[in-house]
Amino acid sequence: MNEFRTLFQMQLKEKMDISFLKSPGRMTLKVLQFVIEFAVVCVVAYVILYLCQYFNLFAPLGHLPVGVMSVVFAVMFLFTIITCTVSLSKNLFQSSDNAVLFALPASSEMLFFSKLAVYLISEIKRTYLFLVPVFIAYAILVSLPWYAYIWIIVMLGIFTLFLVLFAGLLSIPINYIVKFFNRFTVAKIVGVVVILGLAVWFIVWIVGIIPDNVNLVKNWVIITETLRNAVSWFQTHLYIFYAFTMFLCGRYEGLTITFWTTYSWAVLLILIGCIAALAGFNYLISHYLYNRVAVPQYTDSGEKERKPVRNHAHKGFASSCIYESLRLMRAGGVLGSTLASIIIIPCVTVLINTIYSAIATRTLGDYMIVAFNVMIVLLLATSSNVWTSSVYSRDGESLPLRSAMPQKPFPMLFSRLTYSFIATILMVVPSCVIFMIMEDMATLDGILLAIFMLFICFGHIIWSAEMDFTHPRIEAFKTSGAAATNSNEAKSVVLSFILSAVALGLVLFFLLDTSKLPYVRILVIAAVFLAYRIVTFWFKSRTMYGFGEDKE
Amino acid sequence: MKKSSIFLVIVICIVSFIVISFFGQAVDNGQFKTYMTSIEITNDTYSIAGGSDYIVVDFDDDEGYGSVIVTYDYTPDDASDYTVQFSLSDITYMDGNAEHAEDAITVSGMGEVIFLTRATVTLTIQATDGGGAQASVLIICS
Repeated sequence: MNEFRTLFQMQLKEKMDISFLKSPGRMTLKVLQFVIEFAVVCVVAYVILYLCQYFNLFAPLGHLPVGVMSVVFAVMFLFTIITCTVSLSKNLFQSSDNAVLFALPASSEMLFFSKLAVYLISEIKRTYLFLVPVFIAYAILVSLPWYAYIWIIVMLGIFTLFLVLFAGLLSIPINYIVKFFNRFTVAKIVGVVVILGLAVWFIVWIVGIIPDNVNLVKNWVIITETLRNAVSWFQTHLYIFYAFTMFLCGRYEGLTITFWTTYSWAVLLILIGCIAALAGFNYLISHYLYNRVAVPQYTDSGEKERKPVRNHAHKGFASSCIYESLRLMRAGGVLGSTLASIIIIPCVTVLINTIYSAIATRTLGDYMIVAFNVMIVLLLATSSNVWTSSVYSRDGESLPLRSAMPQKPFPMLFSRLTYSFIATILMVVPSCVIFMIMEDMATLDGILLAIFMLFICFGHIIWSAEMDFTHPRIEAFKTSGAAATNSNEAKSVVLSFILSAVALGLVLFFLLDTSKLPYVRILVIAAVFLAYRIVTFWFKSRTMYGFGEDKE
Repeated sequence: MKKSSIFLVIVICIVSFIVISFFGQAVDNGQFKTYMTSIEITNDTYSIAGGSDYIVVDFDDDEGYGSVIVTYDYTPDDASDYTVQFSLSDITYMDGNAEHAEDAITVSGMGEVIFLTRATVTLTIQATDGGGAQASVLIICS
């Protein structure tokens, strides 16, 4: 058990910032932050659920059936199982810290389970910040007894354990699939093209079924009926999710909700049984397979012998750009995600504007359409660039050495963002062109709006990168090449939302303002924001990495 | 892209459709008003030879109520005011007790009839534009 604890603590320390545990002050702040985040999600979920109940959207007589929560639960389950499997596949089999961990005097199953335990901590945190508050909001809405809240909190924690064990099991075949694609580049390209093709086909299909005239007010009855039928279909055909949701929240008998039924015992026993079975399977697989699957990742490269390549000297800026491009191409993840964003963002723009076009709007509605387009495209584009908040930390231990390089810090650090700038242009400009055509916007206005959005995106990229080099998370990346939780990334996601929301407000405000040149005004504000971020970046880069400036 | 961002985008898209539909929709100035000329009930109905059409609703003993959303269509499609009013009449309780509470059978603003007891009732849909278009249907909840 000591072995397990040491392995667990060692990995936890590297993947998560747990230094706050030693300081009571910082710990209080962390707890406070958690409580605030929990409360915010809870309030938002409560408002949404209350509105659904108020408008009798899913059931008459002002109640919200448990079936609705089972849909929420199923969607979350699907998303979480996909992300858990992919992340665990990387953590268990492709992580660079395997090289160190397998050299330690610990059994393979011990290593396997310690990695699962570390992942479980981060997953539990996510569950308690999203799924639990949503279910608590539902419990408040339907006035469940006090012990139901404790039940939900405990049971969703146990369910997360089930999820992680299940994902751990799935990660093994996924790892073989990843290996196959990595070995055969053509298959990898075909796979990516097929997935993207399916995504585009799906969006085109959705666009095709959107009616010519969308009127939510007029078709409210039809919408309500469709939603109720969908929930009812879900309850009947995907009963397993409904059963688990009833186990969490109880079931309606007449118009009152009964929290605990004899049936709940059965579900609880099944859940415990599943967890025990999954733990057993994971143990067997890790005992017989984990060593064989994970070790060759670093011992037997199986790569072809490469011809030596002569190094060329480049100017500082070009050198940094080439370094970043090579690194991204080798890592693959960011490149694939960028490619997906470049294709998906314009498709989403087509989809939402098809629906907007079907709504007969007045001038206020037209302005709202422009503002929501700006917000959605900005949110998508800035979210795709969240990785820049770890652009320097990904260098691991070599990051501090950069301060000794004979190069000015600003171009050295700034040039690393060139890839993100180009990718953003490729994401935003096609979306703007589509929007301009579909909403019949004046060309000059469209160009100004596109530049405005690009400035906001660039500002976000620079701000995120600045957070990274001022508060680097080197520990998380230096051995494993990945961080389970990165506070900089979390901040970048929040910034992404705030900037998009502010952009929406600005666009709407200046369009509603009767004075002239609204697009020029918003563009000036965006330009000031971008200039401010660049200047701050320049100052901070000089302060942090300015020691080598005189050497050039 | 983070999972939270994807959720956020989906939520914002849905919110935008609702906000634009409720606040940004074109308003008819009423100068050239087109009246509703007829209303037709589109639910699945049964009919007896010589009698009127009726809708059958199952009373759910577990849930303690029965309900049906009465859907309708109107002509012309471009009627200026497409709002209607629902009203109930000729209520007959199947248990023979005429002393039921007032809200034992109700109809909501979107045409959902809710039975807290087994009964038959006539629902009338009437256009609110003053044109006089209306339709009725008998609903049996058993």
